[in-house]
Amino acid sequence: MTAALARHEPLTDTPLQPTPAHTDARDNAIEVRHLRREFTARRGMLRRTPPRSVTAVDDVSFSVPRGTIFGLLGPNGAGKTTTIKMLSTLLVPTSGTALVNGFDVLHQEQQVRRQLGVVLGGDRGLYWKLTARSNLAYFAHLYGMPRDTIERRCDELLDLVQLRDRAGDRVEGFSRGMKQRLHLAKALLHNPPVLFLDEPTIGLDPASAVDMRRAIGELVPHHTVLLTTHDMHEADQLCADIAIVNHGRIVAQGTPAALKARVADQRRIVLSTRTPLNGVTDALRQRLRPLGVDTLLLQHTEDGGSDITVYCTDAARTLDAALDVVRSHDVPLSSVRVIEPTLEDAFLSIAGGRLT
Amino acid sequence: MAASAPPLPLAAPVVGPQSLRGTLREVVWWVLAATLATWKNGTAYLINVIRWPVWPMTTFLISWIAYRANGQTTVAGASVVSFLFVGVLGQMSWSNSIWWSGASIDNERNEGTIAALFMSPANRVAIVTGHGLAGLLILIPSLVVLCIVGALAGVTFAAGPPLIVVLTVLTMLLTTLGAGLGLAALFILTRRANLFANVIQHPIYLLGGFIVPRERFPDWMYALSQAVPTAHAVDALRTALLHSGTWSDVRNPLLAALGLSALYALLGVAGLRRIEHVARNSGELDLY
Repeated sequence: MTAALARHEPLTDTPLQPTPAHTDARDNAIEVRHLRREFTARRGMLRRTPPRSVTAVDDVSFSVPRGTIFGLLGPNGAGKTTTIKMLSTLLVPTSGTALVNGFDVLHQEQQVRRQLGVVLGGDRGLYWKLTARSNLAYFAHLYGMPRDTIERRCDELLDLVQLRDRAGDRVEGFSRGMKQRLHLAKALLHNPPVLFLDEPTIGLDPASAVDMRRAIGELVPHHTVLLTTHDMHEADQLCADIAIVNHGRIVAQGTPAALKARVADQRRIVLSTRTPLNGVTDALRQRLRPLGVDTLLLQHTEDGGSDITVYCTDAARTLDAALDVVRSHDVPLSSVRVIEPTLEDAFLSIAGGRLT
Repeated sequence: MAASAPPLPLAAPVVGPQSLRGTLREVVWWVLAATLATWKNGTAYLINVIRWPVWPMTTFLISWIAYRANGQTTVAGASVVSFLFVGVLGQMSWSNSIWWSGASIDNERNEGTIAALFMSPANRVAIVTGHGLAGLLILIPSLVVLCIVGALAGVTFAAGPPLIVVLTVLTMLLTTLGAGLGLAALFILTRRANLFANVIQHPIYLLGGFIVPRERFPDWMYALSQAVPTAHAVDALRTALLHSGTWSDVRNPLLAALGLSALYALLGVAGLRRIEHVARNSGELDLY
């Protein structure tokens, strides 16, 4: 992917001259400070109800270093898309500031638009009656690309998203995955320094999602990416830094490892046996309590065996102790698994147990 | 997707044109790109190309039959068919204003592309103008069919100086685009008011003097018709094409058409800015 991007040429007819705002920008491609957005809803034409105010984004602040992927995670309605809309100049913040590549989203919206490539979730945003190539060519013109580079750039990107053989087909005949890939190509057309990807793998089949994730991973360090997703595995795999948003506020922020460390007590050891356990759980409880283990679950399996799940922080010591107990009771183990906490565990814990 | 390559330096900030010439060039390319895309979009299905000439032909033939049924062979000093020929050109112009320029932003909303469009640096007025120009190109088959039917029906011209004819035709085209800009803003500002476009279409055909000469209107109706820029353009074109009109004959309607078009265009530009302001503030872009 990056090889294709490398061949891209400057997009202006004059040398690039960053504005003072850009010169002042530090190493962050995105700077968000105390961003807030309220929506006021009224109903009724003749007898209007009193305005009802809803705060979609509340005092959100974060920075995204250049050349990294930053993830915004949160349940539906948490404020992720509203944040993306404010950063992409579609929506005016009620208060707060945001800079994209050094340009102010409120006062320099034209410059911000030139820095951005945006992939909004879903399959809209393309002209369905036009071919893939015509869509790309049109948007290339809208972004002011030099005409002599447009055809070559379209070819590069169609190759990149593996749509070259369908370049002459109308988008209306494309699958969801193909449309999403074309969206990505569209976002990359003018080689923007910053990309906003709003749930880019939503609705894709597993193979297409893997392809899309691979492509997103290859965008850095050439581009800076702000990614919103519901897919915890995707966020864990791709993001250098993550902010978890709930009810419009950032409730946790850090690297995936740091967020997972917050739920280290959800590390689990699962001991499986093919025989019923008699008296072992009580013995385990007594033995493991001094190691800080409070939670121990016993589940009987369909084959007459049992699974004992032990929640712990120190897996090594807890496992040693648990195996001692099991052996002393002469119980044959069929498997032992140590399950590390996932980002999903962290998310569910932090966001209050709601994924959608 | 394609295999990865070694890391590259960060993408540079993208800065737009820094000179007036560069800016103008960019605007011209936005217009042309929108024209081409709209043309391709509008001609994607053959049925669209076939159906366009049907509408003006229907107006022409039905009106001609109505005049004949009334025993009338001349109207406003010209043969009925010649009078209607120019009137149908006016109708085509007005339809273009409504359905191509006027409905352009609304069409983008229906297509789901409005957010992509508003996130781009492209000027909205340039986009609407591009839609209008594409609409004019799409009128060409209708024009050809009208000329054939007109010739068969016996349309005759008593044209004035060629320069005057060209001026009046150009004015008609500018009127189409100017009114279209105004309607684009009006339709989008009033939230889907274009749903009424079908309903107001026939009153406008009447007020525009496309089928009936405006001089026969009652005073109140004539006053209303003065607000339709295409009506003045049609008056000028009829004078130039059917009555050997000179500059002094066409000057007033030409100036009225151009003045009204400029006013509509200015209102359109202001309206489109207002839309962007409202949409960005309300967060209801998808609803516009």
